Amino acid sequence: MFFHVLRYRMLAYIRDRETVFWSLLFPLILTSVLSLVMSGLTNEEIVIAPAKAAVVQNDHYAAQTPLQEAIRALNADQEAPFEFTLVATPEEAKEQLIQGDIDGYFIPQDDYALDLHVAKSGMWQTMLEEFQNTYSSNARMIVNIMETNPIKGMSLLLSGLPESRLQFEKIDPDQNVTNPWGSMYFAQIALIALYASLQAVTEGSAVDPSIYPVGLRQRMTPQHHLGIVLSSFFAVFFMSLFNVGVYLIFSQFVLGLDFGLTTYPLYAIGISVAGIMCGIALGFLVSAWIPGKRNRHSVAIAISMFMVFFAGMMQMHVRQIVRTFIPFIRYINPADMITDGFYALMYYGDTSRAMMNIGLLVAFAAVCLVFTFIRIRRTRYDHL
Amino acid sequence: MIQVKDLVKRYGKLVAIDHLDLTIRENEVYGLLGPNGSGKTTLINCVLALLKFDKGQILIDGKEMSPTAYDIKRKIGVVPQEVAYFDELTVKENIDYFCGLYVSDPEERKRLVDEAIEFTGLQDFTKFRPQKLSGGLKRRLNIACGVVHKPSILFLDEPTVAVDPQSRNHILQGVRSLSRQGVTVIYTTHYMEEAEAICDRVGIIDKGQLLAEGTTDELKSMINSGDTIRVELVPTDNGNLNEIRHMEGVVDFEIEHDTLSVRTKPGVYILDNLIRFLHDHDIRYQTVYSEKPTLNTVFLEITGRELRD
Repeated sequence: MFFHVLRYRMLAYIRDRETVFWSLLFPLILTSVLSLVMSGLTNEEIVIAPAKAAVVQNDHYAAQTPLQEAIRALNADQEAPFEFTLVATPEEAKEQLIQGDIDGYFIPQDDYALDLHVAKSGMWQTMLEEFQNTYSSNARMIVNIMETNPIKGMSLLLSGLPESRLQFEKIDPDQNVTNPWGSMYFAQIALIALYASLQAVTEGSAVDPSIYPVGLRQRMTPQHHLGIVLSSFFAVFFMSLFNVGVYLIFSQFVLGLDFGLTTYPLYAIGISVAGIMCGIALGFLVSAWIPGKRNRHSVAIAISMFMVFFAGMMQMHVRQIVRTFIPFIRYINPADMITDGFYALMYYGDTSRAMMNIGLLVAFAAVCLVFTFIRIRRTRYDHL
Repeated sequence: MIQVKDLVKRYGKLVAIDHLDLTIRENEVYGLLGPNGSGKTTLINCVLALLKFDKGQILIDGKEMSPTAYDIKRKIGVVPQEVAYFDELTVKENIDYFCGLYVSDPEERKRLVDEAIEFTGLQDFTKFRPQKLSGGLKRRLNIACGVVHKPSILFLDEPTVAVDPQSRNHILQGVRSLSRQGVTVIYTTHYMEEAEAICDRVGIIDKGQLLAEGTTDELKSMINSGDTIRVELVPTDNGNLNEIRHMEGVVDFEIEHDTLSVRTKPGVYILDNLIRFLHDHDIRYQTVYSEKPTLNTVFLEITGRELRD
């Protein structure tokens, strides 16, 4: 019976064009487009003018050695994407902005904050915003490290801000500034894994007589419905594994994006498998506790979207903000665990951190399945 | 074969099944007749252990029915009111899928699937996905999925709702055929014509109570009505017809849309007297016809309302 149900549920899955598009083709298309854009941005043949900015030399500027060092280092680098000029007053900076000589100007503030003033939105303004966020969080982190570990903090400062970025991450990966582009790609894997929750909702509902008449028919067969659920679970699991596998292979070998598949294949597969289990378990949990077929799909989609949003898929800095202000979220967000697991492998080769994320994912899936089981055991079809 | 004893099922304050006793014999076609919301489907679902009930006992072949009574479930086929199959699978795949939940041997399964396809007349549609089928063919697929494993007890819950006459005839002939093969059929419907046509015995259910039970002839003999005479009147002022009530042999009468309906006592012949009355009172009419009592008449007399109210 197990293989009989498995075979037909996988067949049904393959024939559902909408599911195949969203769970397999859409991520491939999105990643291909992203990859094209990214490669265009870094293509050496394309010359992109640096973002020009003025920095007001007020008292806060004088007190911020890291800012002075960063500006000095970036101005010295001919290939740096920024070009800074120092001005004495905000009025002078504003005049330059109005004249179109600069793309924006910074007014240093207390606590390593920078006020950014721009006249319009655009790519250079976005780059300045990127600098603003990166500088503030790095500078605060240095101060934090200096207070807790002055020796390491000193070595970081001496090594210079732009070059020290990777070293920061090695010291305390949880608190660092993540590479936003990497997070976006990894969050896509999380999205594919969590898409499994939608299919799991369908499968979980297919044995529920209050949702699908076919559930009533299946309940009347001489099979325990949990056995049918288990077969359906594996059907979604294998199909989702196929989707993630295709995505990883396509990204790695066609687009040339490194997901650690060649260097850490077991860990990459482990994160994928655990992530898919989380997605499926989440889907079954939703189908067990939320009444109504439409509600179930809506809730599963909403949860998946929130999770990948918090993992930094749509807005790159969200992940960092979430980790800073509501750190516990990462322990209940499988998308963040998947993203972080791949990030740890790719940027640090940190297998212990990858293992920790796999463990968190398995624990999350287990909790979801326990609550699903409790609900299914207690519930029997009961409607007029 | 199926015994329901003192069954009570409540939804909050609503009593859906009210102390119902029922016995269905082996190899009979038993019709559960009642209007929508009368409790037919609830009763079926209780018998199938799909619903918890508050009181009572349900025995099938002398064994208590429960969600884990797999030996009993193996004998049962269900055709639910709403079509129940997977949209992504073809006709043949759907039938094979449900057959596989009962039969593991591939050879036997193939034979059973082919027989079910032939039985429901779906030979030309085996590779079609359900959404390509007409309403009647979908109903036939629904039946094929329920009978493919050759059950000895078959529950059919309103299988002919919203189907074309051709498919309806096919379904009714199929039920008769199954009955001839020794299958016990429990057939719920609110179409009295179907119940009269195929059921050996009929139980009339309303508000969760079994109001009457027996063969159609037995049920008709229970009531105080004979034929119903209907007279289509010429739409003019037809004066006072109330005197008809006092004619000998008349049980009741009513006028609706210029049609006079007169229910008579069993075995009493009043047509001559009625036509004479119309002539005497200068009441013009177009057509007169007489109807034998139906199960609807039975239901009307028992409950005071029609089956399709």
